[in-house]
Amino acid sequence: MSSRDLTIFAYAGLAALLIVVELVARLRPDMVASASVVLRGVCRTRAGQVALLLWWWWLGWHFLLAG
Amino acid sequence: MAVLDRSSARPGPALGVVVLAGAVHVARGNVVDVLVFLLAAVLMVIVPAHDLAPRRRPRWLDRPWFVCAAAVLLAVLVALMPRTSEGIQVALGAVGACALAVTVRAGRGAPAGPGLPRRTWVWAGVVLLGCLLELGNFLTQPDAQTDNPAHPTLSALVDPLLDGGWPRAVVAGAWLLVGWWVVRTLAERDA
Repeated sequence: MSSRDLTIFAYAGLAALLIVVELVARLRPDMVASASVVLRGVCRTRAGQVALLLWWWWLGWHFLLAG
Repeated sequence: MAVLDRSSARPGPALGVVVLAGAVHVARGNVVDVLVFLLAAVLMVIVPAHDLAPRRRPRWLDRPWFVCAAAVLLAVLVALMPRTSEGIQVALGAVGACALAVTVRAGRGAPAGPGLPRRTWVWAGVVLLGCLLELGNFLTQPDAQTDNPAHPTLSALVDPLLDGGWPRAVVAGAWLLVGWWVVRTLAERDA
């Protein structure tokens, strides 16, 4: 397995981990909070609200434009 | 229900995260990204200190058909225009400015919720691992603008998939719908 394959595997593993955590949160809310609950927690401060808005917008800007 | 408390006026750790990310953009040498993160960091200090009175969110945010139409419009625009076109830059900039205006207009307070729940560190840990992986791969690049095929960043992997107009259109539409959900949540107030 090349180092490129390992890198891709690591990204895929992290994506899978996010899905697993969300599934666990849906099935056992007492164990871990779901993504939407955590995001609402981040929004408790106005700075957190601006930061969340920034991340969403920047992802679109970064991936939809080239260069 | 709007929740007004003194702690919501402090920038908190979110400011540090944005400043750190901005420092990475300085290393990447991307002027627009540096300016956007710098502006966000300034807003994170100014908005809580000089906040507006809380207001109900605009009605159009509660009309899914309106947002779906906007998502389709953006998707078609992104599919038809070249990926480097100024038209797409203007469209994305306008969407961001509109989202920022709605968020600032919402005023003091926050969406209803219990605050950061227990075991938030589980999510933070996975996101941190992702950031470290991305940063590690970025640092193996010969320079900030040249990808390392042996250790590609997420952008280097995703970029070729978005070269086609229609895959990009799907992502653009989904991005706008996610943004609608985010802004709608951020603008929740009881006033």
